[in-house]
Amino acid sequence: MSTLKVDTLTTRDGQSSLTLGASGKTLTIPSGATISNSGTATGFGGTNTPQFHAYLSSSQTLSNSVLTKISIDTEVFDSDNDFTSNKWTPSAGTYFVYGQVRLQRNGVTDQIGCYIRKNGADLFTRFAYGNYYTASNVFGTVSMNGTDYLELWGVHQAGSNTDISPNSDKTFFGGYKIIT
Amino acid sequence: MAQLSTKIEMYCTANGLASVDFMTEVMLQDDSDGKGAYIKEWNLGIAKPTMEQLASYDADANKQEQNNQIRATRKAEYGDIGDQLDEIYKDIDAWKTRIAKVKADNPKV
Repeated sequence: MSTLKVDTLTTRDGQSSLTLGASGKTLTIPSGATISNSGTATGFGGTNTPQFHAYLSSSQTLSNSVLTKISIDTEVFDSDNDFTSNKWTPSAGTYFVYGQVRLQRNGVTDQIGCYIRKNGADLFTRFAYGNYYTASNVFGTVSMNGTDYLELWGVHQAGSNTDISPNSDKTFFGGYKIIT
Repeated sequence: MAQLSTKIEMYCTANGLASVDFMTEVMLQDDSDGKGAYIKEWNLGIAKPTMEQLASYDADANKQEQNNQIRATRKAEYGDIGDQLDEIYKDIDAWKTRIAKVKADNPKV
């Protein structure tokens, strides 16, 4: 074993890349040493994709006590184009997902439930009570197999037809892959 | 058309059930496919009604929903109960007149 001591290791004139090591070999950064990067690093770690965030763009009316699929129709981003027809079907992996449903009503005490359902079965549920644009939200981690799909559902017990608030900050649905 | 939940409540009342829990006993669902709400699960000890049976409750259910809305409007216009007690203490006849006007302005159907 030998030691190469230099201040700068760079390419020869006319060359644009420098290769360290070779396939099957290991480059070791010893304990206590630090790699300080001020440039662009690629290929390290993982990416939090697929990821998406979408929302309800116009009011949706829900009947009393009827669990209803929310028409999440507008995407803010959808990295892998796997959110279609109100459902998200990402590739296999573990995901953090979240959603919120908000009632477009105030001055009356209401109850609203927010559900994320996986393949049509309840996955995460939560109910909230309030009298000022009551909103309920859910979140959690879920394993998906590539054909599993998620949807956002809502239910209220306001006693009559009641609108769900549109816009990206009020009724929304999203998720991203967790690096494992 | 009245709420499906209201018609089911009326059907249950007519068949001897005082109340319905729509989270556990009867589950209603709307798949947002244009077909509307339907009974997803029926866990009560009485027979699940047909849509025709439920339709027969439509007029009464509409009336009940309208009256519920009127009750809510009246309640809001009556105001806070603490404020009403203050009104009563200061001038009970004026309070009676105001409450009577709220009722008259919002008659039940």
